[in-house]
Amino acid sequence: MTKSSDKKDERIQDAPLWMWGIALLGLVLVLGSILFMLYGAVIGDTSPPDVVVRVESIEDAGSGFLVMFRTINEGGSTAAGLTIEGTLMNGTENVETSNTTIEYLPSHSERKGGLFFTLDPRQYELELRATGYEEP
Amino acid sequence: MGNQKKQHLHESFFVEKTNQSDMVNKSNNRHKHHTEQQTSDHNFAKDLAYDFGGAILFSFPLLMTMEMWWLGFYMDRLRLALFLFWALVIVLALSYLEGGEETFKIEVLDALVACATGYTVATVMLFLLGIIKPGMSLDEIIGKIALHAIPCSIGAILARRQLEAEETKKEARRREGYHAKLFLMGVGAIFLAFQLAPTEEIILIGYMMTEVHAALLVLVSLCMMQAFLASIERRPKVPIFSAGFFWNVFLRYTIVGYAVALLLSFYVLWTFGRVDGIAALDIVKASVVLGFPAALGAATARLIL
Repeated sequence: MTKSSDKKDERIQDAPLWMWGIALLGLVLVLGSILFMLYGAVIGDTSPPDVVVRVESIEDAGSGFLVMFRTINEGGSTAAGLTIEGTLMNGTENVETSNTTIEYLPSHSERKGGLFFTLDPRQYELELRATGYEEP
Repeated sequence: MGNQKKQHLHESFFVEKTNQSDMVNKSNNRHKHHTEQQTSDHNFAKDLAYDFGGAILFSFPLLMTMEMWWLGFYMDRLRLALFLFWALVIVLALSYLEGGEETFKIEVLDALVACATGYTVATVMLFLLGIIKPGMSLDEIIGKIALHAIPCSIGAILARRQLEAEETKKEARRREGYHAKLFLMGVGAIFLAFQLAPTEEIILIGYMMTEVHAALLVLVSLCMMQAFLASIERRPKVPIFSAGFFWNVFLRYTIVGYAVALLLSFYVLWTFGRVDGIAALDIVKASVVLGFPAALGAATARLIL
């Protein structure tokens, strides 16, 4: 008990250099992220989502086939509930359609997904496209 | 008493260790001398360890909330910048209020170290949980880290009080002022509002409630705050069930604290874009819904923070 009351007069005057280094890092991180957000708000890209869908691979999956794809949003806004539709075409005839939903595709980011087909996509013309989204 | 025991244990451990060899003894002495010169005998490494503990303890519910990850990339950048600024102010003010035996310089240092810890914990945890991955844009990654760093930083600055729980006289004096009490109520409110505002449920509950429900919830929130605050504000010689004491607490703390809780609830909902394009009545209801946990946070702030 006496020890802690003695301590009261002796205030912590300074900290070791490494502690100030960490504090400086903290300051840089906080100010940096605030400035980064302000930059994004003022000069940042606010164009609507611009979605590209690319086929990554086609594999056998159980009784059917799996088309793995990568979607890239080249626009400046996030697409929520993005629907991806894949169709197998035999000339002008639509043979099979599959679709899936990507929950969120942020701007300038990419997400991966897959579509299942019962027919072999390699035997037909495979078309992948984004059909719609909502604003988050 | 507990401190004495801790001190004793620490000393006996120290003696045992130094007896092991002369080499260790020498280096320990040198170390001791060095720190005495520069910084008295305060253990900053221990502070840093507490910071990390608090940052994880206070932030993991939000780190594991999916709406928080999404908000990291889609929330309005200007609102996020403003929120980050207020978070820094809160951390600085908490450091001041918790600063017991420290000079002002050290209080600022503590706040900035807490921020550095917050960012570190947020970054490591988001990577560890696979929430940040390759293929994400810089904007998405920085947005997620910066947003999660807020609860981590506040947790870090609260850690020493939580895990050490030694209140000095100066600290108690600073915390006893009316404005300090209101500030702590505000921090408690914003912290609990922050835990729940990202979820869909707050708006959903607002839609499900009628105006009567909302009015009753306001009443319940006020009663709950009054009960907590009356027990915290209790003084030895004043009877707790007297009218004078009731109105004193109600007018000075409960009603003011609830107003703060409601306003901060609205602010947090606005920050997360939850009230955009919603009818005024639904905004009020959502604020009242979020105001319930915020009021709980405000009333119990001085027990928790």
